[in-house]
This record gives sequence, structure tokens and C-alpha cells, in this order.
Amino acid sequence: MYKKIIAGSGSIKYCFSRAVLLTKITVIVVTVGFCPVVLAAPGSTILKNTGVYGIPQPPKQITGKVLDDKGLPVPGATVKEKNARNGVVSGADGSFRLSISNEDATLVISSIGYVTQEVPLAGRASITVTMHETAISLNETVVIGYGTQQRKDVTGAVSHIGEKALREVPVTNPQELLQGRVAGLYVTQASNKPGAEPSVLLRGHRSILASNNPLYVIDGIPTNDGLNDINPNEIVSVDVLKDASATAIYGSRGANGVIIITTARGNNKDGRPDVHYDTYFGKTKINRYIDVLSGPQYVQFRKDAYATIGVTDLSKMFNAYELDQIDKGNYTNWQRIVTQDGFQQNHDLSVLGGSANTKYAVALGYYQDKGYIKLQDLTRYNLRVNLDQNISDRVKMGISMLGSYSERNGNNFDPIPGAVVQIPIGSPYDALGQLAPLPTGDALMYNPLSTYIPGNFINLERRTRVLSSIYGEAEIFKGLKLRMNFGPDLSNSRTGNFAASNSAARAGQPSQASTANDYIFSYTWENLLTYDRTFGKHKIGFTGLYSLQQRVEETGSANVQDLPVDATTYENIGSANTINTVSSGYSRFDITSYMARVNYGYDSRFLLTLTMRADGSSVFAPGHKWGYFPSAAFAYNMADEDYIKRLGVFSSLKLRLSYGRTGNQAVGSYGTLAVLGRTYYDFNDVAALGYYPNTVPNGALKWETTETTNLGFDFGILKDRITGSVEAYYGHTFDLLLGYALPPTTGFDSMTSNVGSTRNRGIELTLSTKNIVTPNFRWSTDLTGAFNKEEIISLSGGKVDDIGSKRFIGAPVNVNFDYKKIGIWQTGETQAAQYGSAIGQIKVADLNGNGKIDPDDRTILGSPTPKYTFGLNNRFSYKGIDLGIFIQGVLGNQISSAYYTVPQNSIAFGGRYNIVNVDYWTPNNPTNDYPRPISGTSGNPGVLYGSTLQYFNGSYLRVRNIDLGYSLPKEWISKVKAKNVRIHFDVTNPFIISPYVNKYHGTDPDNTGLPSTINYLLGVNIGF
Amino acid sequence: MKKIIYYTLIALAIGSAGCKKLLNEDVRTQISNVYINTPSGLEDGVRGCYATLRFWYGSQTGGWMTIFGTDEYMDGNADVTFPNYTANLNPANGAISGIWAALYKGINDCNTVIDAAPKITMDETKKAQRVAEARALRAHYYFLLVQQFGPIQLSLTPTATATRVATRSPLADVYRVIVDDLTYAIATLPPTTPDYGRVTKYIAENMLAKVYLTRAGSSAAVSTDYDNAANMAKDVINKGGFKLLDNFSDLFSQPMKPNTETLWACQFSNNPVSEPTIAPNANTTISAWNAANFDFCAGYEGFPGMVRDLANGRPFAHYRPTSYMLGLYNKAVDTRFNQTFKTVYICNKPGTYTINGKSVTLKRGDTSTVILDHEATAAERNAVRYLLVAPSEFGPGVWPMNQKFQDSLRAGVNDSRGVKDVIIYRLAETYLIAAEALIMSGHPADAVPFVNTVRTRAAIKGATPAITAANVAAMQVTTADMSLDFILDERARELSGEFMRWEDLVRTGKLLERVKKYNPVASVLIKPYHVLRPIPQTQIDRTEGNASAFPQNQGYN
Repeated sequence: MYKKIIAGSGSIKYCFSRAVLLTKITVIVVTVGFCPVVLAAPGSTILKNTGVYGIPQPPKQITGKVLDDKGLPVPGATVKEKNARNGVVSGADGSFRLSISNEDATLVISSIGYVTQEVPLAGRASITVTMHETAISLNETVVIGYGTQQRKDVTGAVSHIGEKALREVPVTNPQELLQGRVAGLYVTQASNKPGAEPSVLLRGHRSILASNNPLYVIDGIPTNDGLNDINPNEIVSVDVLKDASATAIYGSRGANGVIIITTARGNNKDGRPDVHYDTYFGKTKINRYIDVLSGPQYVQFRKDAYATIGVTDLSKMFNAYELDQIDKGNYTNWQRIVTQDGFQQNHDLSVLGGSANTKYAVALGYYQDKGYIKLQDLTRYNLRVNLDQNISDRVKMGISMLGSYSERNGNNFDPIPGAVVQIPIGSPYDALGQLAPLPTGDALMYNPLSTYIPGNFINLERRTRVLSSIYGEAEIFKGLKLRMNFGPDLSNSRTGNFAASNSAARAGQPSQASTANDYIFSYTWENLLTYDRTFGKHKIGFTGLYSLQQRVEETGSANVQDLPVDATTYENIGSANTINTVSSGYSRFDITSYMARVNYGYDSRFLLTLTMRADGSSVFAPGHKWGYFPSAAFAYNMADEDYIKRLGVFSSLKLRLSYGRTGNQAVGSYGTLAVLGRTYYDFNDVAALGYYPNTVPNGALKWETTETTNLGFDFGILKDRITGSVEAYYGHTFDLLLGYALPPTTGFDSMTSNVGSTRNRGIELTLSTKNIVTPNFRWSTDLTGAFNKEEIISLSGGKVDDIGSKRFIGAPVNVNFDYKKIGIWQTGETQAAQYGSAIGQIKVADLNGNGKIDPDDRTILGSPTPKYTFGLNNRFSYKGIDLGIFIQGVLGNQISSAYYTVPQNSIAFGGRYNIVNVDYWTPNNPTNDYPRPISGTSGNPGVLYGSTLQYFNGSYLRVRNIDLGYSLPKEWISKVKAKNVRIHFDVTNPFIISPYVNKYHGTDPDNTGLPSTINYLLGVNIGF
Repeated sequence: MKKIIYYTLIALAIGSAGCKKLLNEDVRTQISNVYINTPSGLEDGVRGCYATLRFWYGSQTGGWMTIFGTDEYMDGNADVTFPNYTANLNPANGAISGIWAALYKGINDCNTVIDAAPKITMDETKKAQRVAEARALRAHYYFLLVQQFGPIQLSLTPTATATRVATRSPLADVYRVIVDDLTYAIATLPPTTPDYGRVTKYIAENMLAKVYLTRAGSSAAVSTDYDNAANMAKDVINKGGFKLLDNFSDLFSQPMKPNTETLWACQFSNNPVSEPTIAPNANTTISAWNAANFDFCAGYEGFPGMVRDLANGRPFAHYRPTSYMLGLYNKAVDTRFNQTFKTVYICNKPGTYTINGKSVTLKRGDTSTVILDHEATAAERNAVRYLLVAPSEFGPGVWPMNQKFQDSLRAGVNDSRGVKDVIIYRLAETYLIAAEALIMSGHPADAVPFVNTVRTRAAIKGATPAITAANVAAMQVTTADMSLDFILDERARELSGEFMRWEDLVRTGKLLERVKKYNPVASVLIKPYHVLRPIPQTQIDRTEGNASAFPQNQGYN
């Protein structure tokens, strides 16, 4: 019996299993499969085990309640007497009643996702047990794609983030949830505009041309069309599939990892449903503007630029208006004029409930973000309905529907670059207090405030998204289930733009208006057959899949100018005097897939997973449409082995080894075809539009394939007080989809081909520790760290660098390839002329030492992709107070900040416009930082090698978030019938250590083009 | 169990049967290149071949390649590229790599239609005519390239696969291809076209005349080149049916219409369909708008009573005429100075201004400023109620500007899309080609009538026929005047700024001499190797074998 149950604990379960079965398995797994491991581990320090074994007494009844950290009941927890066979499961309200052998017995309480506890009764007849969630637990449920598994049965590299960790930090999009929390996952917040989506990179770049974005699967449905419509508060778990064994079941689209997002579903407990209301209000403040020259600094800068060409007469460098304004000391900081304090508010109301046969979850969300840049905002409304219904013992069905509607203003509006270069001399208002159209002395510098006259400038996107997943499932006979999923994903966006004649965007030219519609319908249709059975020590699971996916996108747009009445904005473009462009478009791709997966477990110790997937995609050339993606994974649970037990260290230990292939098809539709482009010409004013060959056809274009080997260890030490995992991987990508740069004499710039290969090698560490665990005070730490080395190993010409495309054997995919700045030519350095340069110009290294600066002196200066990434999360709690501090960092990357570049013929660097606040060279300031400004007049070569000024060390260590919360005492909130009330205060991005910021006064190494912001947020979570 | 497996297999089989069709590309928006192999596709393909002209004529880069760094114009403003033969003129220069790519793209467009034609069933005459147009355009693009870069890659078939093989064919081979293409075009094309802007027989002849004239001055010279050039030019003059316009100024008045003098013009239009706001799709970084109106436009916003407007233009102030250019004319009898250069500004912003120390109220339409060709005395300044600008006061942005390209029909004052056509060939130049060829082949006396025809038209029309006759007489030249330098001076007077001067100077071997003599800014750094442009570094980097297969022009590495 015992052995049989052990074997049963390795069962793979699917989220759609009947609740009863689920509970049963949970009981079996937890009680028998896991407890011995815990019991075998020595020296529990979680709670002092002071169990006293008294003399046998007649059976006795005790009652109790199992609660979680928040005081909410934990249903389904196993309560068992230690060293005995009696056990029960807690009810929906967490209560239990158990017969025990003696009143001094010790109870063992366990439940999935919680640390197992031992509580000595010490004579009590009634106890209340508070369970603490585990960060990484061997028996937590992990979503593995087309099913779920218990952590201990997982053979692949999967990172799981549960609801608790997700709730720690309020975020505006799902990607932010992952930042610094998953080893090997690098999330970049490229913009702090409302609604900006961060970019996500897992284990480095493997693809050069094709996408490096992971595949997102929302409630089982893969999606290509962004996560911005998803309310992050609806997410209850995120699982990141990292190695090929885990991702191979997504075959063609799994090469960059798979991120599985699961939203909350209802529960089976009868009675009053759970109601949650979460809200917060936030404020965004700019803490660092782009550092530009102040008014007086700028005046001096222009003088210095003119001094270079020998002009000192002020009237030759400033016009009368400017001289007048300088006299009056009238200067303006234009960045302050176009920015403000941002404001956010969020309201989420959710109801979760159900009965024996029905589960439901309904949520409403409202989110508003008024950006710190004026005219930028986002308002999003979300509705989610998840429903699961048992139709009979063997048949069930359900639906998830995520609906969202959003309005986003100013997405394509960025006044910052203009404000950075705007001449600081002058004032936005004239003497009469009216807006001055040209507030500076320059005829091209329109007043940015003219954009904010109501109705003058509109850039509004309205977006609707309905992402659904409908399933039906039948158990044909014991263990064999047939399931069908259908996931339609519909999104529609409409963008309207209008710029009046006197807005800064049109600067006096005729008004312009446009509308654009983008309609996307995609669906996934999956047929799944699963079979799970246990035969003695052998446990077998089979999953078979046949699926179809299709995505169709239709676009339409019209752009007009010169509208008779500004008030019509873009709502009546037919009235315009000129139609600029009218266009429409259509594109489609299809993927057909077959997949089979076999899981085999022996004695719950040896686990084997084999998968095979075949994908056919329309985007590849005939004869190359199909790709085959096998994988194999092996895991060994070692903790039960005597030789490990004898060490007395590990409460759990698992070795995993996997190998597999995944594909990348992320090239656009029609990439294999030779298509024509439009040309524009006329004959005597009669349009003569033509066509020209736009692409070189590639009839051999096929799947890019990644082969990954992964070695992982999962461990738990000191009764899981320290848990963690270590992963080492080797990924090799071949048939790389690559933009093959062609000599311009072919008439083309590049073509898409399968050439070359890349390699990614790395190590990832995840560590969770419970440093202090006392009833009142707790401190825990989660640490993630990753090292990745990304290399190109061959290119189209074999092991030959492709200088034309800036790709080099042995270097990362993206590199900064340029001349190397070593200083500024100083007065008296006579070699300057020999190198074709001049005093005050940038001195670059003559790397080949041939006495001149030539293209061979260009070198790889660095890569924007970091080598090391890490995250550190510390959580403290004392009674009702909790504090989380999340620190995150990257090391070993080189960023480029475009504001620092000086183009060869920069009119800004000639003093015409403002520049960033740099230490520039003058005869009296022999710096090595920045070259000498030079005014725009004949006979000078401009600034040479100005692009070398833009590179900076991109490393940083930042406090991403501080979260302070207080849960009101139960006795207070019970008066209003609330179950829990938590008030929290958060600060996002309060602090950074980075050479780019601290030394060079940059804003943010992740986001060099915009000011950096701190966000303050006050919120309340209420549960009824 | 067996049944289930059986049914599953059936289901899978049905699935896979359906997917064959499913995985076909559903192409709707994109147009496949197979389209070129149809009669209408050929028409569209040939139209596409013309579009490349806009990357050169009127474009900023085209102007920089031909107008800058010559004896006519010097750098007016350092925010432009390579006018002064500084280090900016290097293999990484974006403008040069952009125009290189644009012209080769144009050549591939031509190759595509030339290659497709034999497969198409359509009216053979029409087909031959379209192929001839494409070959003439291909010749034109190669001719522009060979004059700027010297020996270059010859591609005569469309690029169908990824190739990185490229090589620099000898000058003689390049010219042979150009001559072949044009010979075919001359034999095939009709003398006129209903679509003004298309290549005709005489446009091809004019082009070939210039090709012969240019080859004659190169290391690939053939002994008959000058004679052939003269004969081709004479054929255009005698048989082409073209005639000089009576008034020089009519050539550049707006809107530009077909006229008896213009053989061929790069077409621009205010038709928004053919002048999109977005830059035409091409593998280049340069734009294809007629921006010449900006580049020539001098600064005037500092003048009293003047504000930026459409008629006066957007002052980029790139091309500043040299004092040699301004001093070339006998202004008493030659109308071309005043027609070419704008020296008078009319008030468009009424108000009270301080001019020459006096407070002056200017009304709309009053004279604001006059740019002089001599130093003004105090008395002269005091006598007028407007600003006088003397040559010593010329400075950044202030000078007599070439107004041939001024364009008041653009969409907005700062709109870069000029709508004026840019003349590629006109009959006056054909006369000067004939004259140059005759002088170079040792027949200066025969050249005289050609030159005098051009000069006669340029004589100022007087109030009476007698005055006009006297002016015409004063304009006449004789055999004694006939020299290469005279031809270059005359070309400057007639064709100032018309996108060809740099090639004229290289062809005649006078670039170095004349730049050193007349262009004070460019004279400092110009070197003998500057008669060729640098090969773009992208070309060398991407060619198999790099610099050993595609060597850089001497002096640039």
C-alpha cells in the first residue's frame, strides 16, 4: 500500500481535473509522498519541535482551524498525527476535527504551497494553525504547458511566481511582474510613458533577425498581440518555461522561452463568495531631467562655439531678440514646460465563488495613468469572466474571457527631444502674455506650448480586445481524457491624429489629420488527448495534440492635410483640401501542429519526459514549411535516497537534465516571396506610379532552430528553510534567420536567409531563504542571479565577421562597433594634424598603429546586452506590518545615449541649439570629455567621430521598489464584515547606483531618452 | 482502446489533409514580382525606373554632388556635407552611400524590366519602346555613377539571389555599356512622347552626345569621341524640333510646363498622389524631394520688413555663389544675371524699421533690401529708403541667391517637397555641347555660331528694336574667344546651378585649377584625387573579398 501510494504521488494532473480527484491526489501526495521527506530531515528550526511522547491514552477528539498568513482559511490542508495513521482534510472554512491517540501528540499540517508544520498539542483540545507560503516548494503546482505538474515531478527548467509574490508590487503591465524575479529573464523598461510595454529577453539573444520575444500563453492560448490589454491584477500565477524540454511542446514558437499567464478562477466552496476590492492612487514625479545647459551656460556655449571660428562680436552670434532676452535674464527650461506630475489610479473589484459543480470568477478593473509628459495618458477598463461547469461526472466545460477597452493619448507624441534642444533664451509668452509662436530667436523652434491649446493636437488610440478561451473536456474512461480548447483573440484599434496649423508639430504649415484602423483576429484551436495511469511503481502520462492557429490582420488608414475647420479634427477628413495617402493592408499566417508528450515516472524517483512536436507554418517556402522539434528530459529525485538522507542536509534534492529543439518562425508573412514596392513619379503632373523589386526572394527560407541542453538542481535545505535551484544551460541556434547584408550594387540592402548560428551559455541561480521565522517577526529573502554569454559562432560567410552588418564571430549579437575615443586632442599635440584631426577634436585610438585613422581602427566597444542580471527581494513582517524591498541590477553592458552623439555636421553643436550639459573642450578648459564646439561656418570639418561620445557603461544597481503594508487587526475589520484589510505604500525606482547616472548625470540607463521618474503609491486591499 | 486509436488516427489524417491548403501564403496586399511579367506590369516597372531620377535631380545629395565644391558655388553654411573637400568627404559619408545605393537600385529596376520583356506577349513596338526607355535610364544612372566614382560594378541582369560578388569594371567597359544602351534607345525610341518626361530619341541622342564628350576627356577616350559628340548634338539641334525660348526667365517660371527648349526634365508635381509625404520606399537613407529651393535660398529674415514666407522660401542658404560666378556677366547687355540671381526683396511685414540710421515705415510692397554688386557710398545709402547690402557685407546666409529653383507652389513655407521640375537637358546646353566638342576636336570657328545662338537669346530686350539689336551685337563672340575656359564660363552663365557643374569641371580637367582659383573655401583642402568620390564603405565591407575585391578610390584610405 505504502509503495503504491508513493508511486501515485508522481501523477501529472491537469488544471481541469475534477476537484474531488484533485483533492484526493493532493492528500495522497502531501500526506504520504512528501511527509516522509520532511520527517526525515533533521533538526527543524522552523518551529521548535518540543513533542513530548506520553503514555498511550484512549482516542481523543480535537478541533482546530488552518489559516494562512492573512488569516484566511486554508481548505484542503492535510492534518495528521505524527507517527500515526490517522489524518483528515480541513474543510472549506479551514476547520478540522481529528481523533488522536493522546493529548500530547504532535500534529503535522501540510498543504500545497505552504510550509509543512508540526504542532505539539501539549494538552490543548483546540488549536489554530497559521500556515506560511513557500516561495519554491516541491509540491507547488506548476503550469508546464498543456497541463500542470507538481514541482517535484517537473523535469524541465520552470520558474513559477505565485500570487503572493505577484501582489507585492503594484504594476501596470504583466512584464513588470517578472523583473528581477526570474533568473535569466531580463526585463527592460524602455520607456516610462503611460502604456509603454517593456521588452523581455530570456537567456540572451539567440536570434539576430527573428524575434527574441518569449511566447506568451494566456489561460492556455498563445498570443502574439501584446500584453498591454491584460490587467496584471487578474493574474494569479506566472510560469516561465526556460529549457527546451519545457518549451519544446510549443515547438516552433518556444525558442525564446514561454511565459504562461494564468488568471484567477473560482472555487468550489459553497456559501459566501470571496469579494476583493483593491485600489491605489499614485503620483509620478520627475527626479532627473535630461541634463541640458542652463540659459547662461548656453549663452557661454554659443560664445565658445563662435570663438572657435574667431567670432567674438555678440551681434554676429545672437540676434536682437536674443540679446534683449539675455539682458533681461529671460531663460526657460523647456523640459519643465512640457512635463508635469503624473497621476495614477487603479480600482479592481473581483468576486470568486462557486458551488460543487460550478466555479466562477468575475473581475472589473479600471486603471488610469496620466503621464508626466503632458498630453500622454492611458485609461483602461477590464472585464474578466472565468466560468467552469461540471456537466456530468465525466464532462466539464468552461470559458475564460478577458475583455479590455483602453484609450491612450499621446503614444506617438514625444516633446522631450524638442525640449532638450530648444534654445533656453526667451520665454514662451510674449509681452502681452500671449503664446509666442516662435519663442526663441530661431525660425524653426516653434513654441511647444502651442501643442497644448485644447484641440490643437490630438493623438488618440482607442483599443478593444477580447481574448477568450473556451474548453470542453470529457473523460472517456479512467485516465483518458479528450479536451478541446478554442481561443479566439480579437483586437481592434483605431488611432486618430490631428495637428492644427499652429501646433508645434505643424509649425505653421497646413493642418494635418489621419485615422488608422488595425483589426486583428487570431484563433487557436487545440485538440488534446491525455492519458494518465499508474501501474505499480510505474506512472505513465501521455499528451497528444493537434492544433491550428491563424492570425489575420487588416489595416486601413487615411492621411489628409489642410482642413478648412480645425474643430473637425480627424472626425471629418473628407473635408480636407489635400489627401496625402490612403492605404489598406492584409496579412495572414497559419500554423498547423502535432505534438505528443510522454511522461514516465518510476517510484517517484526517476522521471522521464519525451516530447515531439511538428509545426507547419505558412510563412516559409514550400518544401520548408515543416519543422520537427523533439526533446527529452530526465529528472532524479534524490532526497529519498539513503546516501542523501545520510548527509542530513537536504530536505529535497532533484537533478534535472534535458535536451531539446525549439523553433523560431518569427519572420513576417510573405518573407519568402519577391514582392514589389511602390514608386512615385509623374509625367507632366499626371501621376505615374510604378513598381520596383523590393525584396530578393528566398525560396529556401526555413525554421530557425535552437538546441538547448539544460542541467538543473532543485534543492531544499533545513526543512526547506533554504530552497533554490541552479541551472546551467547551453543553447545553440542554427539556420539563423538573418538579414544578409548585400552590397548596394545588387540594388538591395539585405535579404532574409538562414545563415549562421549563435550560442548562449549561462548559469542561473534562484535562492529563497527564511532568515528569521518567529510568530511575530519574519524575514525572508529571494535572490535570483544569472550569467549569460551570448556569442555568434558562424555567419553567412562561415567563421568570418560580417563588418557590413556589425556582426562578429565570438561577439554578442548586438554590439557597439565604432572608433574608440581616448580623449580630446590637447593644445600642443602635434600628432593631431597627422591623424587628419585638429586640436579640440575627439582623439580616437589608432588601433592598428598604421599612423592614420582608417576603418580598420573600428572595434567592438561593448554590447548593450548585460552579462549578469540579478534581483534581490527582502521581505519583513512584524505582526500586521510588512515591508518588501526589491533590489535589481545588471552588469557588463554598454548602452548608447543618443543625446550625447554629435553628428558630423551638428548645427546644435555649432551653438544653434541647446545640448546636454557636458564638459566640452575650450582652450581654457583642456578636458578630455567632450570636443570643442564649432560654429557653422565654412571651412571646418565639423566634429569628427562624434558617435564615439554616446557609449556608456550600462551597469546599475537599483532599488526597484519599496512596499510597506499594514494589515488591520481582525477585531477592527470584522465589524465591517471584512476578512482582511491591508493598507500599503509603495515607492518605485527611488534609488539607483549607476555610472551613467552618478557620473554622467544621465537619467536612467534603461531609458536614456526620457527623464527618469519616481512613483509614489498609496493603496488599500479589502477582502470580504 | 483500439477504437480510440483508430478514431484518433482518422482525425489526424483529416487534419493533415486540410493543412496543405492552409499553409499556403495568402497574398493580397503585396504584389509579387511576377506582375512585372505582364503587359501592365511592364508599364508599371518602367515608370518605376524613372522614380530614381528624383534621388539625383533636385535632391540635396544630387546638389551636393554637382553644385558644391565647384567654381560656381561654395559652402554657405557648415551644416551641409562635403562641400569643402574636408574629412567629411569620406567612405562613411551617408549622403554618398545613399546616392550610390539609390542609383544601383535604379539600375536593378531597369534590369528587371529589360529582363522581363522577352517573356511578355504584347504589342512588340510598344514593348521595344519601353525596353529602350529602361536602357536609356540605365545608361543615365551608370553615366552619373561613372563620372562620380570612376570604374564601377556593372550589373546588367536583375539580382535574383543573394550575391556578394562585385567588382570594379574598367572605365572602357562601363562606357561601352552606356553607349550600347543609348545606341539601342536612339534606334528604337520615337522622336516625341505624349507623356512629357519620358525618354525620347532626341533625349537619348543628347545623352549620348554628353557621354562621348565626357569619355573623350577620360582615360577611356576613343579618338572619334569629340566628332561623335558634335554630330549627336547637331542632330538634336537640327532634327529634334526644339527651339530656344525667347525669354531666358520663362524657363524657370512656375508652373513648369513643357516648352520648346526643354528636352527632358525630372518631374515634380503638387499632385499629392505622386509626391507622398513619406519618402519613397528605397534602400537608401536619402530623400527624393526637390529640395533645391531650400538649398539655394539665402537668408532674408534679418532684412527690415521681411518675414519668412512661401514666395521667398525657406533659407537653408547652402549654395553661396562665388565672386567669380557673380562677376561673369556683362550685366548691361546680358539678361541672365538678373534672371538667375535675386537681389531685390520686397517688404512682406509692414512696420517701422531702422534703416541706415533712419526710422523708415515700410508698407507691403515697398522695397526692403537691395543686394549690390559694388560697395555703396554713404550718399547712395542715404538716397534710398531701403537697406543696401554691399559685397563686403555678404556673410553667412546673405548674398545674391540663385532663384531658378524658387518654388512658391509648395504646400507650406517649410515643406520640403518642391513641386518645380528640374531640367535635365535643354537645347541651350546642346548648343554648348556642340561648341565644346568642336573646339576640342580643333574646329573653333565651327563652334562660334552655336555659342552665339545661346548668347543672342540672352541679350537684354530693350525698349526699342534698336537697343535690342545693339545688345545682341554686344553679346556676339568670335573664333578668337573660343577656348575651353570660355566654354566653361559660358556654361556657368547659362547653366548656373543646374546640377552638372562638378562633372563639367572634371570632364574638362579643370576642377582643381578652377576651385583653387575661384572657390576660396574649397581651395584650401582640394587635392588631385578629389576628381573621384570615395566608394562607400558599406559597399567594400559587404563585398566578398572586401577591399581587395572592391578597392577604394585612391586618396580615400
